Amino acid sequence: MPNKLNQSRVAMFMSVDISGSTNFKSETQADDKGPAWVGAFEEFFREVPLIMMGQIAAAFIFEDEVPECSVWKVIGDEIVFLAHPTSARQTQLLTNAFYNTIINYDSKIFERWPLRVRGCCWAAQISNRNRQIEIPEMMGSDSSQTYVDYLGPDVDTGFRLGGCVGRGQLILSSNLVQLLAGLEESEGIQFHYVGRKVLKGVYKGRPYPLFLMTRQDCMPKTWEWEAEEDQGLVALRKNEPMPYAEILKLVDQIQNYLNRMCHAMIESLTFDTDK
Amino acid sequence: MEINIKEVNGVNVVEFTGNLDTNTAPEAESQINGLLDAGAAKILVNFENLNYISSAGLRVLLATAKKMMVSGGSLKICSLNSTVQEVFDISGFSTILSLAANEADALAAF
Repeated sequence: MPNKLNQSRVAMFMSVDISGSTNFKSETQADDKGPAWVGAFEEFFREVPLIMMGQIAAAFIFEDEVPECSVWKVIGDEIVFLAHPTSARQTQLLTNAFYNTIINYDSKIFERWPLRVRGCCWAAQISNRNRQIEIPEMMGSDSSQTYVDYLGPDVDTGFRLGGCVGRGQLILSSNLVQLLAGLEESEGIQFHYVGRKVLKGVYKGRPYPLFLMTRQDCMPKTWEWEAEEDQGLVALRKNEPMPYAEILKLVDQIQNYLNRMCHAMIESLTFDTDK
Repeated sequence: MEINIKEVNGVNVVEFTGNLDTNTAPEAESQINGLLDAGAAKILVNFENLNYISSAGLRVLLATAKKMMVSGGSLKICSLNSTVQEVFDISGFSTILSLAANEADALAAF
């Protein structure tokens, strides 16, 4: 049934999860109030969405409109935010807000617990390739609220990509990097190409490019202490941020290669405002 | 959640009772948008009877503040309990939005 659900628009996903949580849960002792790790998780699920909303407010302080952004899913020790930016500019500001949320909360949780957080940000064009569907079994008690889910290869890619990022860092999908690197104003966003990795089920087994994001004014706090054990940080320390022109050239080369060799598309993100 | 709207000295006072969260934020936004569509230039959100506000509720306030900024209007918020105040502090909304201790102080500040 054709409906508004699958009108072309961009869905942006921002995932934050607790790194090292399995060990922490198994190693912490319980007292009469229960296991100590419960408090860390309660704080995480309560505070991260609040901090994210505060960062969005700060990022959009000079903008007339704020895009829709809310918690989409909570899966284990992971929170996934969903936003529907209506322009590349909104996408850029949301990415900045999410990066600041990761860096700030990584410091905050580490002050209280031997835990860290890490983030992954990706986007999918909701069109023929990626779809938005209603799931009747998940309708809320108020029948006016429909449960909507997102399915498609570009949605799946992000969940795979999230496994490639280290503590206190943010990794971005290549279509998102391509969009942001194409903007004239960087808003302080820097990209570091840190290599490629095969992601199960993505691009027919061809390696996927890994881009970390940093901001000059807000770098991962503990990277000097952990560089030896984290390949992403090794690359971050070795490599200066890549100029935007080189980023665009690299993503273009990867797209061409994938299209020719295995007919695997990296779909660029487009907005109505681009037309 | 209950929403009560009254007018005091040309200010639209919106009183919330209960929780302003994912389930109730759409109704809150709809009610406030109704005021904006009707041309309200001064809105005071009174949280005296609000138990909790989530990130979805904060987004309603942020969207309202943006719309009022564009239209040249003014939004103020008053009477936060300690739980709601903590949410504002964690999110940083305490420094972004205009807060007052009680309704009288907020009305006087318009």
